[in-house]
Amino acid sequence: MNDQTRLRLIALLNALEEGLLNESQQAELVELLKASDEAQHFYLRFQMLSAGLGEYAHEGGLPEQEQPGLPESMTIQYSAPSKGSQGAFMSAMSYLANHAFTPKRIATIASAAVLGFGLILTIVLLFSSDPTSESAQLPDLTPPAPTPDPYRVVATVTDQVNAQWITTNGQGVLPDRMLLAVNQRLTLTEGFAEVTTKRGAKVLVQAPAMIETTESDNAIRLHHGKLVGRCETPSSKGFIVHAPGMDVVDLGTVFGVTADEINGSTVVVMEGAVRAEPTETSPHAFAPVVLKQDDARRVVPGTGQLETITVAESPIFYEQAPHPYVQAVLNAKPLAYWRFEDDKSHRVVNEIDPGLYELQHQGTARINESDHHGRSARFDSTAEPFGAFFLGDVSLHEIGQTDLFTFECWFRVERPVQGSLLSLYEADPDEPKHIIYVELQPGEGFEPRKGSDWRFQSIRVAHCDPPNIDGSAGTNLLSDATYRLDTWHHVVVVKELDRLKVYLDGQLAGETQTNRDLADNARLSLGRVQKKEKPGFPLRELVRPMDGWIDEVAVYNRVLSEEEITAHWNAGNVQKSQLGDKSREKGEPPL
Amino acid sequence: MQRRFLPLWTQHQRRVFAYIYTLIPNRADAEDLLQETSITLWEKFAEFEEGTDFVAWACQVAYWKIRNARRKYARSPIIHNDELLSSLSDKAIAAQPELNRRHDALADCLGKLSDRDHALVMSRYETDSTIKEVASQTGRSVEAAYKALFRIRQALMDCVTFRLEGFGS
Repeated sequence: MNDQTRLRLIALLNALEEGLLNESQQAELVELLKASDEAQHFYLRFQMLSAGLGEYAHEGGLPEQEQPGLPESMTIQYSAPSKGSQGAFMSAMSYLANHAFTPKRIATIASAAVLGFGLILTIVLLFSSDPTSESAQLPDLTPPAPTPDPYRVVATVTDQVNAQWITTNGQGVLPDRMLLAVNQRLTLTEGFAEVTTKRGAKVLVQAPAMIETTESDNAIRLHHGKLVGRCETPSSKGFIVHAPGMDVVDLGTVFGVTADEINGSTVVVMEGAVRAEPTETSPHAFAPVVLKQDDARRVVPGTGQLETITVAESPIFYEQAPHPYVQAVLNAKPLAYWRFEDDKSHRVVNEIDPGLYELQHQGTARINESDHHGRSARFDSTAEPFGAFFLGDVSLHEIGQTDLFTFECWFRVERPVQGSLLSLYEADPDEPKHIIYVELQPGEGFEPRKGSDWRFQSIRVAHCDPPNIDGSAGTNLLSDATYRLDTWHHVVVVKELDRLKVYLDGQLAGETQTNRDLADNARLSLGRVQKKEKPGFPLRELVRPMDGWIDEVAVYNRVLSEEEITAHWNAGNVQKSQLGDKSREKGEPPL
Repeated sequence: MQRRFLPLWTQHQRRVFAYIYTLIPNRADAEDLLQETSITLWEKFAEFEEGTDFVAWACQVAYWKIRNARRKYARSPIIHNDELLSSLSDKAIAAQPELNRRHDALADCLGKLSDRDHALVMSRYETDSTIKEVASQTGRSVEAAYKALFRIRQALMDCVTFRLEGFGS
């Protein structure tokens, strides 16, 4: 049953329901129904709806609907399921149970009592109409224009390949041919999916992408990601893809649209033509332009201007390369690299080897969207149990074999408490022993532990050799540069044989001599120190929970050179120029 | 034996009515036939095998009543086409579980109607008013009332489908 047939069937059924079908229309309906099982099923559903409407109205009101507040001018007397009608039903039951009746009387009483729940059958008969008298008055069966309705189906997920989704109802696999109502937002996290609008336009969406249906049955909104639109049916002509900063209107074609925060929105015409228009929110950003095959345009983030690009420059045709910072870290071959981008079940996968060094979650630590275009580990020093991401029972054996170690991450401090960024420790049945810890020194108003060397908002690095429970033996290093609140910083700690160094934002910020050895059974904890509770001793002081964000953590069993550290800082910091002056001041990494 | 009839009939008559309404889409006619069917079912209830499908049995009885009273229900457009009548009857009985679910979903969807649409539905269905009467009662033109009901039915169809098959399920 095609769209045209379906619309005609709907029109005929509505006329039938109102008793307005003339003879030729009746014949047309019969022919339509005879022609397909689908039409018959649709007919049954429609009639069931009509029967249901009558039943609910007879019962005296629509379910769960507050009293309808009928206008006073209306003459209908609204009658909820009254004691009277219920009483009639109950009395009929009782009467039947206790008296012998002729079948016809019983059925009559039962019907009158049960059937209408209080509505006397004769009233119905009085109100029945003569359909033929009105049929000539409404020859036009044109459907009315659709109006907004929260459950109106506007699209269908028509095909999926290894697709995983996040929706408002959860995450996972969607059933085949999932219907999408208006304003339905979906995130495709893996695989591909084809979505077909009610008017027949198809879009092939590639993960990762977020799409949303709109009020229209011939449009899709692309929040980010990639899609290819194809309009093969006449009714789908004019299909629109709403992308950030640009609406792409189909003029009978195949086209690709991409959207991401860094590169903006792009459109590439593969066949036919489209019209690129500014969005309603930026109506004068650029003049609408018709694009033909092999044309490509990009909306520049920030300005909203439309610039001409080559087809090859559009991300639709290639996998987006990892961000330069991520690529730089991957190229440096760390032992482990945790990006905190996957917020499913707090899993933190090692990007270098997903089967090795997966971090576990502890306490109130969270993976959250942060203010630098991705997710990060969030720690709250005020929320117990104090949180961490840590390796559990797994040790980083490699670093003890070389006595070389580099720790690298981005962090942002919300409250300047004495908080632990990194703790490498040796498991011990009695008490975990420090090997190396990297600690944020407190700011004004947050006094450090007594006895410690300290400087407001500096980075403290301790190398404990031999490993011990209180840092009593070993080396302390305080950075001469300090961190700022609510600012993303890049920190690198290097242990190179007998040298210990700390770098802040690409610059060497402290260096000292230390012992050569590193224990080879180091376990790792981020965001707090793993310590046993001691009676009478505040737990906060023992575990030193950080208050803020940590992201892009990498550990190496080699030493990053100063050139590499500078390059990492530059790669991570390059985004600042794209984010504008405010971001530059705040030093936000882009990841 | 007959005492067991009323509870069964009370429980299932809505479904039998809906079945009849699909074949005789006129409320008054359908209710007439429902009453006649109930009498026959009562008379023949001794033939009903306990444990079998009461609704299917009742629908079969109704079906033969419809076939035997074509002249009375002549305004149904499908009643004169044996093949179509039989096909729709079979499908209506087979689709009872689905139609039942749709009926339940309809209750939720009705609750979503605006006050104005709600009033229109009540005006149309509470007393089975004609479109002319609905127009008069609601202060609309006949055409406006017709199109508004058209739109409401379409929205409800979509809503029911959505609730059963879409995200709202």
